[in-house]
Amino acid sequence: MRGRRNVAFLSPALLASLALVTGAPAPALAQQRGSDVGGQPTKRKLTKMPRLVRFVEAEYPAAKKRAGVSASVVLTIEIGATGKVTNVSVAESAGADFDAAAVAAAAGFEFEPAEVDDKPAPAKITYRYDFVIAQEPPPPPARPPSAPETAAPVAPPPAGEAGATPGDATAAGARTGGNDVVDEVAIRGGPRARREVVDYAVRAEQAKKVAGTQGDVLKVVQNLPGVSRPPVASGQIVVWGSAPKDTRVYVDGVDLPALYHGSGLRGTINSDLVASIDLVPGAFGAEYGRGLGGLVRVETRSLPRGTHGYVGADTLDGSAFVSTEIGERVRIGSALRYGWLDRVFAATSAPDVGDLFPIPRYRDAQLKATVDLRRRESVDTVVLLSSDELDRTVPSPDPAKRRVEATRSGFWRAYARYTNVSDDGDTATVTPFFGRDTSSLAQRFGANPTRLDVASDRYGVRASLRSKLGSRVVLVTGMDALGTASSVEREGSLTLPPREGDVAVFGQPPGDEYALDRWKTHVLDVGPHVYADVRVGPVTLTPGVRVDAFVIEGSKRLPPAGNVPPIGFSRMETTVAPRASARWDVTRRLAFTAAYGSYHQPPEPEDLSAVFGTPELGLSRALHVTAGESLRVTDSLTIDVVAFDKRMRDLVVRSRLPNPLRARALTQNGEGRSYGVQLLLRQELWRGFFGWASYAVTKSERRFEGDEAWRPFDFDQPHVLSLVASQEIGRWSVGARFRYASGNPRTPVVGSVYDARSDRFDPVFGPQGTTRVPAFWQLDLRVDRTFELGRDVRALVFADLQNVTNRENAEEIAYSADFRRRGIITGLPFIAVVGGRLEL
Amino acid sequence: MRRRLHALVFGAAVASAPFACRPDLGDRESRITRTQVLAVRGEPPEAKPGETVSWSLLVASPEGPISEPRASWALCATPKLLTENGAAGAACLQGGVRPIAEGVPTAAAALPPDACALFGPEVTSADLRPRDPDVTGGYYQPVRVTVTDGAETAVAFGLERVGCALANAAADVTTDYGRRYVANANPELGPLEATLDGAPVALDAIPSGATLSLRVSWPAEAAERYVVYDLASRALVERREAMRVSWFATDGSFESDRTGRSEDELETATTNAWTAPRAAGTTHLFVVLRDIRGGVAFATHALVTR
Repeated sequence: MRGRRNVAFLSPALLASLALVTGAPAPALAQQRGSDVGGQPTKRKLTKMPRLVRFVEAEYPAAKKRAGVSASVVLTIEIGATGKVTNVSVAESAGADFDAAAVAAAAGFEFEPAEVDDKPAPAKITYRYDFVIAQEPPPPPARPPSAPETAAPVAPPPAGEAGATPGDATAAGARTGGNDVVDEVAIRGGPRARREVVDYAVRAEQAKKVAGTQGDVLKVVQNLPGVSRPPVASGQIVVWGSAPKDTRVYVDGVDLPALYHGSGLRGTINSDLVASIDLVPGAFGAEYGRGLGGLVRVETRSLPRGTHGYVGADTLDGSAFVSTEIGERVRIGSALRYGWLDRVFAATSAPDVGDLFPIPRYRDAQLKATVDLRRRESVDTVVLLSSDELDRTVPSPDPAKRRVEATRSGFWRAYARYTNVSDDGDTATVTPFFGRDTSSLAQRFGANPTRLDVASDRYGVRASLRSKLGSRVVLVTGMDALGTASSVEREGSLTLPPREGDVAVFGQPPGDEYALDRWKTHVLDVGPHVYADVRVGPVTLTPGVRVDAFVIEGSKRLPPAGNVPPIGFSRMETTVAPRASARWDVTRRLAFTAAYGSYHQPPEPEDLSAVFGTPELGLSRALHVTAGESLRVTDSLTIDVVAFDKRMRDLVVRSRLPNPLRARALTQNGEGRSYGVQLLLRQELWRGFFGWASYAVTKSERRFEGDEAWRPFDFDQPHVLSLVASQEIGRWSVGARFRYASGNPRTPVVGSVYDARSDRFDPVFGPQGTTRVPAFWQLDLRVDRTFELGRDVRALVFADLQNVTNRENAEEIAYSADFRRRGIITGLPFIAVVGGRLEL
Repeated sequence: MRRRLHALVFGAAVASAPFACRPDLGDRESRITRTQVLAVRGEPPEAKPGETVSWSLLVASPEGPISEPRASWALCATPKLLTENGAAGAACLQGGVRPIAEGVPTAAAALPPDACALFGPEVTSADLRPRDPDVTGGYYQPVRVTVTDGAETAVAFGLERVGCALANAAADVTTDYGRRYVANANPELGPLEATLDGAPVALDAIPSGATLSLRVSWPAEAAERYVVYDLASRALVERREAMRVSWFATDGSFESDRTGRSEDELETATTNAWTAPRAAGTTHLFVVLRDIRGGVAFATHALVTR
C-alpha cells in the first residue's frame, strides 16, 4: 500500500482548463470568475505550461494505512520562474496527517517553469494528491501538456520581470471537474497593479509571518526599503523623505485616507481580505497622481469558493471573517475587528504609556461581494469602514493644566470594480467609488481650546483600457478622477496642530493666540493619462503622460469682517506630468532600471482657511528620478539597488512675517530635496524560509525659498536598516525582525525665559534641526503553530514578542519645566502579543 | 482537544506590564533652587497706549525673597512671528526692545502708542492680517525683565494687557464692546491660613515633617466678570475670570505646584497640602495669585519648622 500522486497535467480536463486560462475559446470560459480577471488589464501570453520533472512520493500516514483509509488532498503549488516550488498550501484538506504528507512531498517537486511571452514566469497550479491503497507500483511522473498553439492574454504584464516578486495576482481558470485532474491552473504574471521599476511587493501569506506585525499584512510596509521608522503609536508613513500626507494609499485603485489606525498598531483592512501589498517609494507611473511622495497599493483578495472564515483574538484586538458563495455567480465575504489594547494597558497599570502614547479604540469592518456577470465579466463590490476614538481627561487642581482631549477619525468607502476582458485580450476596468472621511481633534489645555474638525465627502472613478498594439506595444489609457468636498471647522492657535518645520519641543503648549474659522472647500481633479509598454529587444520602455485638471473652490476668500458676507473663490489649474521608465534586461539575471516623473499635489482642505491658512494656495510640485539594478543571484535570491533623487518646490509652509497679508498665513515658499541609495537583499520562499535585508542611506532636507542653508526634514532618518527572516518547520513557524533607524532631527534648547503671565517657561532655541533623537534599534520575534482540528477546522496560536531585549529606545526628547534639564522619553518596552485564531 | 485549543485561543490575550516611559527631569516647579523671577506685576494690569504703567517683581532665591532685585527693564518693540509659540518673539531677546530702566527693582513707563499695532489688532493697511487675541480677547505688550543675582541671570517677560479696539467685528458690536468692557484690575490676595488635622497652626510653629493644609483666598470681586467678542457667535459674551495660584517654597514639598479655580467654579479660595521639612528651620513660601487677564497679586511667608 502506498500513496499515489495525482499527475493530472496529462488529463484532457486539464487541457480544457488551460484553454480557459489562456483565453482560447472554450465552453469553460463562461465560468471564469470575475475577480480573478479583474483589477488591471492583462495582455500577456502563456506560451508554455510548467512541467513536472521531479516527483516526490508522499509517505502514507501509518495509522491511516493500517486502517485502510484513502484520501485526496488538493494542493496549491506555486512554482518560481526557475521551476522550483516556492510555496505549497492546502486547498482542500483531507486531515492533518494526509495534508502534511502531501505538502511535504510537493515541496520537493521540480518543474520546468511556465513561460509567458516565451520567458520563464512563475506559475501556480492546483494539484490533487491521492492517497490510495493499492498493490501496483505508482505510475511514473506525468508529462505536462504542451503549450497551446494560440495563446491569449492571461495575466497583467509587468513593467519589469514577469512575476519576479511575490504578491502577484493570479488569473485562475474555472473548476473543470474530473477525478484525476487539476482543478485550477493559474499563471502569476504580476500584481494586479502595474509594476513600477521601484516596487516592493509582499504577498499576504508572507507578510502575516513577519515578526512585529502581529500577523497584520499592512504593517509589513514599515519594514520595506525607503520607509522611515515612524514615531511610536503614530501610524505615519514616511517614504523617501516625503511628508506623511504626501504618500497615497490605494485599495484596488481607490484612495484611502489612512493605511493604519491612529495608533499605527493595526492596519485598517483585515489581513484576510488582502491579497498583496506593494510599496512604490517614488517615480511611479501615469496612473497615479496627486501625491509628491510614494504609493502604497493594497489588492483585496479574491473570495474563495465554499464557506470559509476565522475568528481570532490577541492582545490588541479581536476579529472575525467569513465568506461564502451564493449560487454559482455570487460570493460574499465580511470581516470585523474591535480593538481593546487601550483597556489592556489600563489594566496593566501603565498610565505613562497611555499618557505619552495614547492608544485609540479602533474598529474596522469590510464587506466584499463578487458577482460573475457574463463571460469574463464581473463586478466586485467592496465596502470598507474604519474608526478610531480616543477620549482622555487629565484632571488637575491647576485650572491651566486640566487637559481634555478627544480625537475621532474614520472613513468609509464603497466601490464597485467592473472588469471586462475581451476575446482579443483587451481589458477594461471601471471603478466608481464614493465615501466619507472624518477627523476630529479637540483639546483643551486650561482655558485654551484647540479644535480641528474635517469632514470630507469623496467621490470619483478610476477607469482604464489596456490594448495591445502589435506584438511589442501595449497601450493603456485611463481616467483617474477624484472629488473632495470638505467642511472644516477650526479654533485655537495657529501653531496647533503643528506643521513640518515648526520649531517646538515635545509637549510645548501652543501660543495663547486664539482664532476661529469655518469654511468649505471642494477640490476636483480629473486626470486622464496614457502610457505604453514598448519592448525593444531586451529593453522595455514605458513612456507616459498624465494631464490633471484641478478645480479648487472654497467658501471664504478672506477672513470674516463685521457683517460682510463671505466671498468664495474658484480657480482651475491644469498640469501636464510626463512620466517614463525603462528596464534593460541585460541578462536573464541582471537588469538595469531608470524612471522619471513629474508630480503635483493639491492643497489640503485644512490649509485653505482664510484665517489659519491661505485660500489661494496652489499645487505643490516634485520631480522624481531613480536609477537602479536588479540582480537575481540564485533562483530565489535577489539584490536590488536603487538610487533616487526627489526635488520638491512650492511646498506649503508658514509665513515668516510677523504681520502677513490677510488670508496669507501660509505660503508656498517651501523647497525640499531628498536623495539616497537603498539596497534590498531578498530571499524568496525557499525550503520554508524567506526574508530580506534592506538598508537605506538617505538625506532629506527643506528650506524656505531664498535661504542659503538647508535644514533636515523633520522625519529625516539618514540610516534605516531592516532585517526580516521567517522559517517554517513543520507546523511551526518562527521569525525575527531587527530594525535600526537614525533618530529624527530636533532643534536644541539653549536656554529659557519665564513667561510671568502664563507662569511657565518658554524655550530658547538653537539652530533648527541640529540635534537628533538617539538612534533606535529593536529586535522582535514571532513563533506560531498550526493545529489541524479535523473537519476542515484549524487553529493558529502565535506569540509576537516585541522588543525582546527590552531596550529603552528613545522616542522623544523631553525637558524639565524650566528647560534646564533634558531627558529621553522611551518607547514601548518588551511586550508579548499573544493570540490565536480558529479557521474554517 | 478542540475545546482546549478553543480556550487557549480566546483566553490568551495577555500583555506584559509595560514600564513607565517618562524620564525623571528633576525638581518640581514649586521648589526654589536658584534665583528665579516668580511674578511681574503691572499696575494697572491693563492700560491703553500712552498710559503709564509701573511694574514690580517678585524674585526668589533659595535663601528667600530678594526684596531689591537688580533688574533691567525693556519693552519689546518687535512682534513675534506666526510660527512662534512663546510669550514673546526671539527678537525681543536680542535687540528688538525699547529700554526702560537699568538695575532697579521697579520701573514705570508709558505704553508705546503703537502697542496695538505691534501686538494688537490695529493694522496700517486693510490688507494686513490683524493679530489674534487670546481667549479673553486680550492683546499684550511684552515687558522684558533681566534679573542679575551674582553670577545668575534670569530673564522673564511680563505681559501688560493693552486696551485695543475690537477687530473684524460689526460696528454695533464694537460700540457695545467699548461701552461694556471694563479694564482689568489686579486681584487682592487674602491671608495664608494653615491647618493641621483641621486645627489652625501658627506659621512660626510648624511641627517638622507635618503635612499642613494651606489655604489662600481672594475677594469675590477679584474674579471679575468681563465681556469678550465670541468669534463663533460673532457677538459679545460675558465671562468670569479664572484664578490661579502658584505655590513656591525653598524647602518641603507641595501636593500640587499650582491650584486654582476655573471660570465655572465660584469658590474664592484654594487649598494645597505642604509637607514641612524634617529639619528645623525657616522655609520661605511664595504665593502668586493670577487672574486669566494678566492681573497679579503675591505674598511671601516665612514658615518656621520646629
